[in-house]
This record gives sequence, structure tokens and C-alpha cells, in this order.
Amino acid sequence: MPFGVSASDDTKPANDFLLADVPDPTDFLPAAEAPGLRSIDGAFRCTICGELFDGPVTLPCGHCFCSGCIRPAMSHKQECPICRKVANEGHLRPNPIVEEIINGWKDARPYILSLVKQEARRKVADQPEVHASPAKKRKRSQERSSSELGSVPGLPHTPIKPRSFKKMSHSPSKPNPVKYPSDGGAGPSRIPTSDGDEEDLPSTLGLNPKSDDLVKCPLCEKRVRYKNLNGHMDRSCKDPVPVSSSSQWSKIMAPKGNARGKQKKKSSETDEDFPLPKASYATLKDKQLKEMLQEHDLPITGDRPQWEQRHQRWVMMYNANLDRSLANRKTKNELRRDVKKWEEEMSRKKKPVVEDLVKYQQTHKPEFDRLLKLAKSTRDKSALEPNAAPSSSDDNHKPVSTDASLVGPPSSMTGVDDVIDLNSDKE
Amino acid sequence: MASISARRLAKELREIQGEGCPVGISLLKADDFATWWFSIEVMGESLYQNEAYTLQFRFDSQYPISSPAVQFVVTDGKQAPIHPHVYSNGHICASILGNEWSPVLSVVAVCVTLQSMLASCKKKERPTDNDRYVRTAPENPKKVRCHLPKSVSSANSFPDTIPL
Repeated sequence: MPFGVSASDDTKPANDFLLADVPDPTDFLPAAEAPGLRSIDGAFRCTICGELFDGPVTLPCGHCFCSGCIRPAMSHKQECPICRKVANEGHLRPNPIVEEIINGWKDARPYILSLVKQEARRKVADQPEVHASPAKKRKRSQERSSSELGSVPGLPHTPIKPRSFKKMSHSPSKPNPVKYPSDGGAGPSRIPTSDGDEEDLPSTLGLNPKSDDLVKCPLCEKRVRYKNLNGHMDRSCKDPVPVSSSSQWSKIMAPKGNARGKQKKKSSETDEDFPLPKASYATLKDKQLKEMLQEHDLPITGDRPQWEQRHQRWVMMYNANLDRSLANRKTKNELRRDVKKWEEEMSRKKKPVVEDLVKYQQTHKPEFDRLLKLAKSTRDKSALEPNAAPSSSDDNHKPVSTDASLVGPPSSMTGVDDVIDLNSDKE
Repeated sequence: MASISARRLAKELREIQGEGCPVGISLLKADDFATWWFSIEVMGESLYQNEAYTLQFRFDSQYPISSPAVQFVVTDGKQAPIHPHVYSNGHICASILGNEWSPVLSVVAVCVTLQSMLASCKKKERPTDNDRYVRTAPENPKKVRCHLPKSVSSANSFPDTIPL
């Protein structure tokens, strides 16, 4: 569990990651100085990941999370993480209103932050000798609005004008607040930009088409329903032959688990809006699993556990993606890239595999000797005690030639985490 | 983009350093996103007055979906508090560290819970099965599948069963 043996890429010195830009509510001044801002920013964040809601979903209890956060959490425990009321993935409902709010906040946040900074700078410039206090601030804003009417007692009248002038001079920066690369800005312009060929969507941009409107595909110029546009382009403009209603029904009515064979050819091509079913991997043969991966154009590299993880992650991300509003949705290619990135991250965190056994033994000989000694002493003791766990005595019989002999050592060896951890991902 | 666990921990760390910890809790060490150390002391009247203990948090890449591994540090001359739910190897028997963990909990929330666990203690004693547990427990407390609100009775063959 600890990253142990290798000081992996994640174990950076503190200063490095402290400097990392991780926006959070403390970017805003506390309530005393900027009422409400910090709590607003806090309320717009998922309590699991701490980020602004991404594809927000609501549980029956009313609590809201990112779809991509609550789904894996629910695979651990089927309850609301906040109030612990029982809930499962079927209870999740997308919350488009919250999503819209977040879209707005993503634009407003950098802008407000820059305003706050300006205000602070202005304050310092004006009154370097007086300590800023909330009461002062309020006075000042009143003063600003009433500055034309007269002066406020206690404050010099003259600085007001230059101040408001300064304010004006900053205002041109208003229309272009810093944008996050990930942030979509206004609705339809959010249509996938990262897939080179999908870059420029013409005319439809400003029109804000509804999901059922027919729009021109920018690639093949065919008229396509807006809601199907992403999928249409994903299939490089080859739309499936319209399916007859009876075949659609049979697809809906067919039991999800065992009819895989029949379903698989269609499911990737038809309805984009249906969540993928979870698979029970234990019942699947290697071949079936491979087909399921290929069906979604996922690679079949690695071994079976990797396939299962990959497919599981894909299903999770795919379904979470459906909880985003159309404009915020990622394309399948983006999702595939995300799965890949996730896999790379996972593999980076895995413990290194011991390749040169002999060398490994030599370098760790003192540790092994100490462990052996310890193990022997506990073994003597456990021989006297019949109810001692069998595992500890078994392990002692094995030779110390491979790291496998170190599974489940007695807890008294707290000093040697590293060696024990070599096996920790096998459990 | 840093991983979710790293980002989440960075946020927690930032909050700790910006806002400070609750009374009696302080951050000792957070050099990476793998292991953090906290000092924890019970304030006010309790059996543990004026005793400071060191808590170790270890995070895996699944944090906060999966719980951190939390235990008292018992090396370098440090001691685990004598408490009916704390084993002498530093392992803690608390439901929120096991199956009652929730991803909305944070490092500070865990510290506060453990602080109050100590504060509410009536009698300083080790769990009844301390010796056996310490002998057989794995090094990482998360690998013990048994986190009980009460200490385990000797009838259970530890650590293979999950009573309750």
C-alpha cells in the first residue's frame, strides 16, 4: 500500500506539490472579508474529489456528487457517502441545473478572483497605513457609489477619482477572463475540439440547437440529429442502417447478461444514450471479454485482470459521461484516452517487479536474515500455541529465495515495509 | 494532470496549512502523497492528559475511495496510547477506518474522530486479544479485515473471520 521500495514519481518533495496549482475554496478570502464567495466555491465542489462538479448526479437523499466519483465509491459501498442512506447506481439522476451553475461558475471564478485581487491592490495603494478590515471595505463601496453626491467623513475626498478611473482602466479585461483549458465556456461551442477532425463546427455554433434538431454534419454535410452528431462523427460518418422497430424491441427486451453474443454487433452503433450494463466477469470466457473490449475499440493488451479492469473502468466512465449534459460530454475517443491515462497511472503506482533475483537477494540479505531470525522465533512460540494463525507458521517453512516467502510476516517487523510491499498488490 | 488522489490530498494539505488543524492536532510531516504524520493530543480532562501521540496515515492511489491506512507510530521511542481499541503495535480498531469509511471523510476528520475516541475512554487498558493480534497481524492495518467497534473476543479465530 505505501509506495514503498521505489521512491516513485509521486513522492515528490513537499514544496513541489504545494506549488502545484490546485484551485480550492481558500482561493477566496474568508467570509469576514469577502462574504459568501468561499462558501459558494465550496458548495460547488464534489465532497469526494474536491473539484467543481463534473457531471453532477443526485442521490435520493438529495446529496450531489460527480458521476465519476460516486460510481466507483458505490462499487465499494452502496450508500450515500455523506448521510450513509442506502443507494445504488440505479438511483443516480443527472442534475443539469447544477451543471449549468458550474458552467457559469467556471467562467465567473477567474473573473471574480481577478476582481478581488484588484480590489486588494487598490486598497493597499490607497491606504497603506490602515489595516484592511471588513467594515472599511463596506464603507468604501458605499462611498464609491455615493462619491458623486458628497464626501464621506473621515476619508479624504481626493483619492476617489483616480481610484474610479483606475477601476475603469481595468474593465476592458472583463470580457475575457482566464479560461481553463477544460472549461467549456458557453454551451454548444463545447463540442469536442480535441479530435482534430472535429474541430470546426460551422454555423450551428451560435444557434444552440436542441437535441432533436437536424444539423449539418461538418464532415459529410449530411443532416443529422444534434444529439447523434457526436456518435455520427465517431463512426466517421457511417450511420447504421435504420433498425426496424421490432429489432429494437427485441434488443430492449433481451436479457442483458447472456444475450451478449447477439447484442454486441449493434450495441456500439445504436443508441448512444443508453448506459452500458456491468459485466460479471467471472462468467465470461477470455474470448468473450476480448470481444467486449474490441466492441468499444479498446486495446486487448495485457493479461486478463487488466482486461477486466479496463472494461470495468470503461463502463464506469462511459456511464458517467452520459450524466454530463450533451454539450459537456466527451467523445468516445476522449474517453478512450482517459482510460489509457488511468491505466498508465495505475501501472506507475504498482510495485516494481524483481527481475534479477540473485542480485535482489544479495542486496537485501541483511533484511532477509533478520526476518528469518524473527520468523523462527515466532515459529517456536507458535508451535507452543495451538490457536496461532496457521499462515504465519507456513510461511516460515519456505526458503527465502524469492520475495514470495515474505507474504504475511508477523507484525513485529514494522521496520521492513518495503520488502513486504512487494506482494501487496497480489492480495 | 495529477491523479485524483494526489489532487485531493493537495487540497487537504492546502486547507491544513491555510486554516490550521483543530486544537490538539498538528501536522508533523507530509513530504509526499504517500505518508503523513500527525501529532494528536487530547485536550481538556481525560485519561490521556498531556500525552501526545503520533498518527501515521498512508494513502494508496485509490484514496479517497478507499480508506487510508491509519495507525499510531510505535517506532523511534513513540508509543501507542493504552486504549481498549488500540493494539500495542499501533493498529486501531475503529469502524471508520474499515468498512465504515466514507470518501467524504478527510484526514483531519479521522484525526478528530480518533481524538474523541481517546477522550471518551473510561479505562486505560489494551484490547483483550492484544498479544495474539500483535503476533499475527499484517504490517498494514488495512489488510486486517476485522475492524470491530469492540475488541475481538478470543473465540474468534483472528484474522480470518469477520464477526458482526
